[in-house]
Amino acid sequence: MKRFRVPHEDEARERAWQVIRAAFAHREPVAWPRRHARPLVATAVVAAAVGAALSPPGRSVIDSLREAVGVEHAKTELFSLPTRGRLLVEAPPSGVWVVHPDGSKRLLPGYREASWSPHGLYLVATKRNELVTLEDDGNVHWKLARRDVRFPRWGGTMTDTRIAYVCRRCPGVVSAIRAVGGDGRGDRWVTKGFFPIAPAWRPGPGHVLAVAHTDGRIRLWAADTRALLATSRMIAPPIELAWSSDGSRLYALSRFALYVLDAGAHLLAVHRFPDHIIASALAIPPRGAAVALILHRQGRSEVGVLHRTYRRIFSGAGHFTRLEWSPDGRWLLVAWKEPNQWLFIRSTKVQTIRAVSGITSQFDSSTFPSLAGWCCAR
Amino acid sequence: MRGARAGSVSDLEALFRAHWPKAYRAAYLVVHDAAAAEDIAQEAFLAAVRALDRFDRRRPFGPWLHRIVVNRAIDWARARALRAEVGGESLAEQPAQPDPPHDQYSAEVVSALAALSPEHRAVIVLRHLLEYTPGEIARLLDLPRGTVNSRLRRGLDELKGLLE
Repeated sequence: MKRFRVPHEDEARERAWQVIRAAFAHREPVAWPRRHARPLVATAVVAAAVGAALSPPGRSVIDSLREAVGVEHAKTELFSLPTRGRLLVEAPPSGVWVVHPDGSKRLLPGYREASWSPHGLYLVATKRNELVTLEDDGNVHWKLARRDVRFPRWGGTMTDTRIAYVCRRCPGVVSAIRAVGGDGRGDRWVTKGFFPIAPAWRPGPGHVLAVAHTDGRIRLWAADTRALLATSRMIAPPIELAWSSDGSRLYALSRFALYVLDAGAHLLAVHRFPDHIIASALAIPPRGAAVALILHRQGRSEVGVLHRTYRRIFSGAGHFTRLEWSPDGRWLLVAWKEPNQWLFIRSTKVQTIRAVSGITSQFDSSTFPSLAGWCCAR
Repeated sequence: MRGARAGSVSDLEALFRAHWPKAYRAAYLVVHDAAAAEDIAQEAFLAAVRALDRFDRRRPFGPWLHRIVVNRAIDWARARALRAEVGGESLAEQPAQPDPPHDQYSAEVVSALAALSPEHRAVIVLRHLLEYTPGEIARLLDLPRGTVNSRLRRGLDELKGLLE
């Protein structure tokens, strides 16, 4: 074993040394030319800010709120959403709920894994062996019988859309990511050998699908032609993929780092988290280049926003499970499991927090409901 | 270490070049993924850079680094095991795979090692690559010494069976 050498070890060592040396240089009080310093600053700032944020609590007003699990004076019912748009909520076993701005809720029974169409006109959801598109009142548009379907995602433009989904036992190609037209026609397989996470459509035309493959690379596929458009370098296994709203950046979140790629799958930046901090979710706002993250450390969770620098928004004991931006980008909704609460946080400067408790019972769910999208007023 | 704390890049480089190979190899032998191993070892060194000012000079650097590397590698390997692959068929265009190790003996051991659990891999790597004693491994992994010994014994027995 002592004779063992990792293939291409020297190249890995030199790549790592460049990163370490850069981090060390940033640590020193040396004024670098800004154009060189920026990516290093980004990485270091995330590390430093997150490390500080999840260190022992007790500095800000917000800190005082979180000492007890949950926010005090939470409303007992979700009387309304704080802004426009409709929420999709997965609440097994009852199904998928659509929540309207006035607080009214409609159950779409028996469905799971729902997501909105690009402009929120329709939604796609699954049953075990069915892919279904429907309106938010439950009116079904079409169904596609496929075995063991998961991770449906709807992408495209107002007039030309595709739905990507995973089919684990489809005829012809077993375990494939497939794509079907928004009208239910043209179902075909796109690629195989992928991590079991949802693929991500690049916003806009072209039907470009980002897929995390099991060899550690992200690939961009033209869904209509099955052409491989780009392949990234190897990264740690992502748990979530998301495009920026303008399609210029692809974010791949792993447990230890956030990878930022451009539209050609070139790696632009890696934001590594400090030791013992693990990420679990990200959310992209409808405009701008910010990324909201959920991070965890030793029984505590934190939601923060990365936009050039990292800034903590809120932290608390227990687990934040999901987060969503409102369609106008002014509110962040954070699902907090232990107190069974949702927190609507007004702007990243935390001007207001509105908490709602009793979420599980409000959605007739056996487990803490999962947020599946906050989309588009009609 | 002292020079690096004082801001010397050359001393930091010496520290890095002395410790990188074993850290990287240890991570690789636990996760069996070159990119992940590179990330894990790199993150451990970044943690070291961040902690330079607070580092207790009386403590040796190597065990501190290896503790981070191996624990992160175990976490990564466990996470990957939970995320079982979807799709067993190979891609039409095949990605670059790591070249096999040059040494046939190494290749067989490394392949067999991959069949063990991350926990068994870790103690074997710590014992036979990094040459820690079972007592030192117990301290590094926060495990009872008896657990380390039993993992070593079971892991080596399994490895022997695979190699025979």
